[in-house]
Amino acid sequence: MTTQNIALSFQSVVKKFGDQRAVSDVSLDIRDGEWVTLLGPSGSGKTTLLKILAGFEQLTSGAVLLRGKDVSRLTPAERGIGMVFQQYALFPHMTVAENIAYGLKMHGWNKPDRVARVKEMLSLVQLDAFGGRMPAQLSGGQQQRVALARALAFGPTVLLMDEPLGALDRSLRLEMEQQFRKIHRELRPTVIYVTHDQEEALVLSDRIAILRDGRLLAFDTPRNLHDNPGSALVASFFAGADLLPVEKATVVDNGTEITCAGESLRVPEVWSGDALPLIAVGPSRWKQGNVAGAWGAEASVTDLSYLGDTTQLTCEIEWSGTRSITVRTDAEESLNVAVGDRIPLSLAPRDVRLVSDDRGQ
Amino acid sequence: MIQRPERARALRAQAVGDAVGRWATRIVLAITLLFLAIPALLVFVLSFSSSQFIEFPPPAWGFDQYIALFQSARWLDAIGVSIRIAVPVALLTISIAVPATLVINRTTMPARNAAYMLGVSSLLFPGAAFAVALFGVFSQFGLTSTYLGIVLSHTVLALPIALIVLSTAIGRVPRQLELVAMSLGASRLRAWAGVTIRLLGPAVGASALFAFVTSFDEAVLITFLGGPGLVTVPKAIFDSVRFGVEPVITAIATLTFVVTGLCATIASRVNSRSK
Repeated sequence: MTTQNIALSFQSVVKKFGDQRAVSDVSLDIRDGEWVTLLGPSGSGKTTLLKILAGFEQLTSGAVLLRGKDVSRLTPAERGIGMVFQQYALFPHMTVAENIAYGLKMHGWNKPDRVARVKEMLSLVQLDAFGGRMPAQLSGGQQQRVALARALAFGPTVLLMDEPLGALDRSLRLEMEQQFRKIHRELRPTVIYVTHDQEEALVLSDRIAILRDGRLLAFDTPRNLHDNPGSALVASFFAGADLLPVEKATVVDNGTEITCAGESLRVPEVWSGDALPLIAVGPSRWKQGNVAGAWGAEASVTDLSYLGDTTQLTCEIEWSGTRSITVRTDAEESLNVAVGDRIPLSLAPRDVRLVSDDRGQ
Repeated sequence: MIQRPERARALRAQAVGDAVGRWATRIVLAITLLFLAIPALLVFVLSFSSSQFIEFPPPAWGFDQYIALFQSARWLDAIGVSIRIAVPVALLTISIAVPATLVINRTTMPARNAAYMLGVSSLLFPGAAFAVALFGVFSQFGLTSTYLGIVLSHTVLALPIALIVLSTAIGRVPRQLELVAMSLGASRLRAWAGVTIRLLGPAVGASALFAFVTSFDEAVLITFLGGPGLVTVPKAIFDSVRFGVEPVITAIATLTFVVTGLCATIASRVNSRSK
């Protein structure tokens, strides 16, 4: 990867509000045409990072580079970044076409070019016939598409989206996700997308940056984050994994031998950390019944939700004390399971992930 | 269900009490309206009297007072002076209040809340005390009995309502609109002009009308700070009442009433439509 295809980089960005560190020492390199999602709960610093990038907030220290050029001190207008907000923020006194043309006008496009570009953008977001409407006459989904067209029209270096689907209902959100993917495939803009919804992040992103308390926990592809979370926070937040303690971890041939409550289990992953790892187990890693070569546990079912193809069970197991775990099984398999039942569960060594314990930080 | 007698009695007493309370409220309301509205109504009725004097009931009806009004150079002058003062006051007020509202609500300028409090503080001044204080200041700068002095003093009076109307209105204009405009390449000033102020339009219009009415209606400052050639309609009415009673003041009072009422109604309509 050369520096030329880096569209944007955050370099040790710190933002303090008084003594509070909203963003602490975040560094990220984002490639041209990449869709990167900043994922985190509220207060994780993701929106602050977005505002710093857009120029609405000044950073305390560090730098933001757009195509290799430091833009930290530039005004929002000078950065050439498109922005889409959750509340659409369409100009209510302008028609759809005038909204889309606003950025073009500010960037000095002449009239015929503007008209042609607006037409092109309207067709991109499938609102060809809506140019003359006022924003108030459109549905939420349509308004958000206009906001997207407006942000993309002038050809920004980077497109920022701040929880753009947050105000829409679920079915519309799924439809918009597909539209976003299609538009991203067609135009290949570099996108920085902020959300707290990891499903949205999984569907849309090339890479995901997980933020928590202003720190960058992980930055990787959705698959890598899901399969090899590395740290406890990433495993629990991103994959919904349960974390179980271990008493001893010994590196052996081709793996690690972990011991807990007298039981021992050999996992194929080689633990390289200094401190004791935790075991992270995703909900769909547990299998019902006894499987040869797997670690077995007796679990009592405390809650059960039917999710269609799968059933989600909340179970208690003995693992150096009673621990609550989440198990997602095939709906057919758990047909006869009821709350209060005791069921056998098994866990194959290859489904166990060792993660560092970063919960206390 | 069987109700015990004492409970039924208590309920009946309560119902009677409620009825008494309701009627008392109605009577007080009616008396208040009567005392407020009847004098105004009388002035309105009397303006269509053809009598040389103010008398009730009028001996005959007609437009004599209005004809006399529009033939009197003194009253026409007063209307002219009032308009020549109220229009610049309205313009000056919004040209101060609009930028002030933007700075107070959309920037992080230090002491912006103090600036707002200062702007609306003239609401709290007792009129006569304020007039005396201004008289002192204006004498220092040779502003007493000047057109400029009156316009300035009326602007100070008109500023609070403009600031209040505009500050409320700007709260309904999402800040994100400005941020979007800036991300699309507009400078902050351009974003303000093209988006925020444009959306504040109805409130700006309402503020201007309220400022106009404030000035058109103002009688205290003009008495202290005015002078020859600076006789506004309220001042002329005051003078006229002081030196004897001309029936023509019923006509001018009615006209003032209609003009200010109309302006205030239009202003609040325009302002509420933007909500």
